[in-house]
Amino acid sequence: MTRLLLVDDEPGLRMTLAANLELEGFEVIEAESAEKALALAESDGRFDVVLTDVRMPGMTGVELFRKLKPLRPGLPVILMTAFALEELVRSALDDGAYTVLSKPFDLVHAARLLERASKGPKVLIVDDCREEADAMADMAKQAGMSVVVAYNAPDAVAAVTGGVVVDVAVLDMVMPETTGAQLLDEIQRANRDVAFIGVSGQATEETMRTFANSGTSWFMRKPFAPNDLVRLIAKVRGTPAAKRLA
Amino acid sequence: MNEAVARAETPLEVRARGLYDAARLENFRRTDKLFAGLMATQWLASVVVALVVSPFAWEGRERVVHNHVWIALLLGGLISTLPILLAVNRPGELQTRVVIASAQMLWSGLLIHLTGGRIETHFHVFGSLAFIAFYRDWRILLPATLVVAGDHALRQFLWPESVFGLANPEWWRFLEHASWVIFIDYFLIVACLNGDQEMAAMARKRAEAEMLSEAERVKSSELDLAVRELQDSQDLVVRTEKLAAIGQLAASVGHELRNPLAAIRNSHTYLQRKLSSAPGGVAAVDPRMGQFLDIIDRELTASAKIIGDLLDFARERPPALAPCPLRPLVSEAISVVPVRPNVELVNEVPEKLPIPALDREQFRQVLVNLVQNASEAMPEGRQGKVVVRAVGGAAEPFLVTIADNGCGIPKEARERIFQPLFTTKVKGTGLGLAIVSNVIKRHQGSIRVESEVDQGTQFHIELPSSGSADGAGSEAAA
Repeated sequence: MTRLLLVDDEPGLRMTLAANLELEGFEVIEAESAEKALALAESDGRFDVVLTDVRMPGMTGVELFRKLKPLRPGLPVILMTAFALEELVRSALDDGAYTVLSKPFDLVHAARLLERASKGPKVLIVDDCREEADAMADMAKQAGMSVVVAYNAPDAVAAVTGGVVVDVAVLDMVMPETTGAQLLDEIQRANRDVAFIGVSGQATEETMRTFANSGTSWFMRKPFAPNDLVRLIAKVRGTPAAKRLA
Repeated sequence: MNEAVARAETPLEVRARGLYDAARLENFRRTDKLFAGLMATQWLASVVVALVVSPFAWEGRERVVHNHVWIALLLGGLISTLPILLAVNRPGELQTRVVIASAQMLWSGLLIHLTGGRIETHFHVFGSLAFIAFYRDWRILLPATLVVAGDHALRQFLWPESVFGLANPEWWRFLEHASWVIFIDYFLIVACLNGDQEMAAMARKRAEAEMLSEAERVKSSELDLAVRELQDSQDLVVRTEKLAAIGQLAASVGHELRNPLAAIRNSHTYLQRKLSSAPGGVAAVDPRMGQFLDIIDRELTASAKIIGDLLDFARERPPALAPCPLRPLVSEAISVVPVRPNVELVNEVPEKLPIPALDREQFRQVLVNLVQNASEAMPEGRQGKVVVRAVGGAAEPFLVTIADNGCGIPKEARERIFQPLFTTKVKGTGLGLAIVSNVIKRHQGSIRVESEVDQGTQFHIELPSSGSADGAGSEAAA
């Protein structure tokens, strides 16, 4: 069973959320403050995923995330917030928080998200141009994400099928040997839950449309700043999967 | 030299000249009328004089109706008629003055003749010249002088008794008279010029005064206007501050409500699941349990929407533009809109449409709001169809249309639908279309509505084409 650390100072919300997540199959350990959560993490230790409120009296959820990072590297932390603390949340995302949920959120979506995050998924980066692929990988690594890089289509497919859990794939849309769309298809066949970000300097609109038809239509035009990529990955991770179009 | 010629007259000068001209004209007319009266009087007087004086001077002591009386009557009438006619019909004109001045000097001549060259009658000449100076037009003195000099000269040589009462005056006598006349003329001319100058000066002063008071009036009304505008601005500032304060309050309340809502929703979800999984299901506990659980669900959704609208409207986040194919986005939006049995939602956005640069989440909301509005506007019993179309995007801007065959929007409402807090629905925040309008504006686009009551409505959204949109990177929200 996935062990979830749930941190929120509002008892009504915390208890009901915990109860529902337990119905979804999680083992939920509650903490009523970031300080308590930190203490639990230090002593008890084995958590698979953390779900924490941001705005709390005393230490905020973002500070908690920052303190957990060196303590338990690789532990996915998902933030939830009722307030639009844009700057604060964004800085957490830049540092590699998995994603942020806006209250009130759909429970089923949250459960799926938590389950996915708990597996410590990686970001797959595919680009035939080595420098570009490595550059993007660095951006993600700087933020504390786990990354796997592929420089061609076959490697990419191998990365997905080889037992590594990937939840986001950043694909260069224009590659030799195979089009981004074909690669997308192959990856999806291997793992349905992967979300795609299409990246390119000059992709044709045809290619973009095919990507869009896959149901995940996030695009970025090169060049972009490191933060842009990291934030988009976090945003994509937090979005419920759109229905796949026929 | 060129400067003096090229310089246009100032408004002050124009006005002064106008006033001066008017005063001059008025003076001419007045004086013309004065002379008309004088002419008539002189005529009468001359007849009386002829009756009383003339015979005495000529024939010793015998008084008869001399032919002088007839001369007085006829010649006097002749001299007077034209001046009087002109004074009445053409007052103020130059020819009138000239005729009058000449006639007046002829009268002097006639009166002198009728009194037989009597010295005292010669005073009439100087008096007349002075009267003529009333015109303040020195030029008129010239014809007058010429007439009197000519008359004296002529009669001295033809009929000296008529002028001087003597049979043999010295040959230069007329010159002596003429030089007195010229002497007087000089001073009269000076007087005319001075009087004229005075009129000009007064006209200028009047013009100045008028312009000053006008300027004052203009300034005063400008001041009034400025004060009113200031008042309006102040009112606006107060209103805006109030709105801002209310907006902040609303946003803060909205945020505060999210936690309680989340807690209620979680509780509801738990209850629903537990009760559904119990033997017999929800209905086993109480027949209406299921219904009430649904009510909680619905009302929570409604509450979340109200708060969501409020916070979306208040937040004004700049769009993070990225290439975003429109057709799949429309499909997604349609899938989110609650289904109504009599309403069909159709996505007619072409596959091959160029890809616009949009903030995906914000524009999705635009589409959801518009499609949902259209769906809700469908009256019961009508087979409703809401269609989303799009064209353009290459050379011309994108034109996205959401068209429905619903109940339409009346003209008075049409002008106000994009205003915040305006709604024709019984329930509703009135923010949906305001949010749509804001998002579209921030995408550098525009939206307009066409509608026919009971026929349907079309919303037309214009967005910049892909060519002009900046799609480099996905801009991070500020």
